[in-house]
Amino acid sequence: MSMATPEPPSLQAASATVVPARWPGRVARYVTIPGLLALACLALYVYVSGQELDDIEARLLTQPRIVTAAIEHLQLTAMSTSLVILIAIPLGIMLTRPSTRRVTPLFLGLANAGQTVPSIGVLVLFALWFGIGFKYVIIALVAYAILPVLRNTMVGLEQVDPFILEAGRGMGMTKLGVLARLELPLAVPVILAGVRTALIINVGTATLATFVDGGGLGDIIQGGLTSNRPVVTLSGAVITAAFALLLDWVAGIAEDVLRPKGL
Amino acid sequence: MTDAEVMIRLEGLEKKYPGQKQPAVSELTLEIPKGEIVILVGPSGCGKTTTLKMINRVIEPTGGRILLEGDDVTDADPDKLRRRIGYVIQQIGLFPHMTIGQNIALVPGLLKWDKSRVNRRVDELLDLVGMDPAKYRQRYPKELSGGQRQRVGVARALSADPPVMLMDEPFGAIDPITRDRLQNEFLRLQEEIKKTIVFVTHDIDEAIKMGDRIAILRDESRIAQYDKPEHILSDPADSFVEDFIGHGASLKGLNLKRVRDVELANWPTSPQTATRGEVLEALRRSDQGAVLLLDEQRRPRRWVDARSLDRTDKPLMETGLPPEAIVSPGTTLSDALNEMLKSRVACAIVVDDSGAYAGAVDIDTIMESIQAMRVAARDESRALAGADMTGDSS
Repeated sequence: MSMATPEPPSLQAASATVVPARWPGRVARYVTIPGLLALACLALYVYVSGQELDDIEARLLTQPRIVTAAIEHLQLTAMSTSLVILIAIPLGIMLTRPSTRRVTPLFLGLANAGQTVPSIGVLVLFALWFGIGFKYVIIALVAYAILPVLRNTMVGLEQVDPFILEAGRGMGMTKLGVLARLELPLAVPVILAGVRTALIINVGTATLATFVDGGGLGDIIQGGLTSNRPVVTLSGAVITAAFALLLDWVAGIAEDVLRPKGL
Repeated sequence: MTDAEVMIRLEGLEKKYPGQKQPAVSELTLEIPKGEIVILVGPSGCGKTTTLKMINRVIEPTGGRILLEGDDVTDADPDKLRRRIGYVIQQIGLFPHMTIGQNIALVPGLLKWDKSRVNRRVDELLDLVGMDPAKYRQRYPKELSGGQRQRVGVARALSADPPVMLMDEPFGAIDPITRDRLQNEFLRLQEEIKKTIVFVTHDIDEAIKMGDRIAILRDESRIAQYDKPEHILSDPADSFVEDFIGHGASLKGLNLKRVRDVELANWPTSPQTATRGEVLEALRRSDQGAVLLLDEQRRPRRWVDARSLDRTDKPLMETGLPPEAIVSPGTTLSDALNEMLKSRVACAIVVDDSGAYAGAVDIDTIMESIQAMRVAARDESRALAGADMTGDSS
């Protein structure tokens, strides 16, 4: 992930010098990743087309199967990440208010526990507890990925310069106004970094959903493994990796676009 | 304090933090007259900042009352109260994700001003603090220098035209040269806007320079002396105040007088087109050592003395020294003295707004004004003592 992390612009540099120097770098970064991924997929396609596929391989690698798996994977990732955002950000806001300081360690401990258990363990535990299928995979993914967003929301809110908040309160902004117009916008870069981490965790963990009948690109890898067809396993692995890198790329652009100007 | 209308009255104001035996502020009663700069000054930890922050209730007092223009605001809605009070802190606290324009427009926005009025106000305020609105309105705070940020901080505090401003060490984190300039700018601004200002500093020199009145505070925000700066300098109430002022009260007193308040010295001048002989004649008629050459607009161009006239036959404008130490009528005598000491002609040139020569400040000017201040202070103490005696006997 570090390769896609943007260099923080120097705070001291004047905007006049930052903008022109930044743009070529940005454009290159935006174009390089999808280009490389397309190349990898093309290479895979060329390689697989050149192979004599037997019946099982041909059945496992049909276009509809791959597309369905990719869509399922996207749904798993998108839904779980959205739920994580909807739960973790408000929770993070609540836990940083002075009145809730006492219960903060409890929630952080719970979220920590969720992430400390290995991901496959969380998935299986939730499957044993609730049942198998798409819905329960989502619950497990949310439980697993909530910590980075929760923690980053809290850190992001707490690192805002207290003098900025004092100035806001001193000027007559309400507590809610300070939260909405100062604290949250200034915490956005840190919160987004947490969301990006959660997204990556979810893309990866969703690959394991196949073990509890949750679908996704893991189906292809798993199909290759159980039928002992390395070509299928390789194809599934490359597609999954490309898919994850592509989502990370989208998240990187979202971070750039959503970061407030002037920071 | 019958001579001025009272803007803020603090009555028995007290702040006790839970778990601490000593209050941070105990039983403070203070009247702040309308349109004046009142400085709260004292050693670190004396409670001066706490006192300031209780006025807009960023810190809630645990006892006493706060009256603003006669209204008891001790229990008023703090958010609404604060919109009536400008607030400037040392760290400035500009909002980094908002443009300069948005920063200044914030309070008018809270007060639901309409958009065109807000925009007009933003431009007006940027002009007022000497920043070109077209150039700076759309910039972000990180693109400004420390001094510019401080100006924006002041503009933001003035945005809703509040009658009162609270300033907590507003020039504390700025380099000495910029600080001096900002202080002067602020005093000039205050002459226009006439706000009631409560200003906290730990720097007695800043207090003397900026304050119409100074409250010297000791522990728990107890008032050691509350008076005009010249009286504090000439007549410290006790040894605490004396120690706090430190040495050199006469020199500090020079901060209180401005060039326009004193009679300027007369140094000989000549038009720059004058001949050598005319300049020599001017020198001879004066008891000063140099002649100042002026251009058609009477702007100072060159110092020439007898030696430089003798030494070469270069044109007049190429001999002698360039004019140094140029000050304006608003400069304090202390600053003028500083400039004078740096200059090679032992004299500071005073120019008016158009840059034309108006006179000079030299060591005699300074001595005379120190003498005058001493005499005035002595007379005043005598008059006060006399008044006390008649008061006792009646």
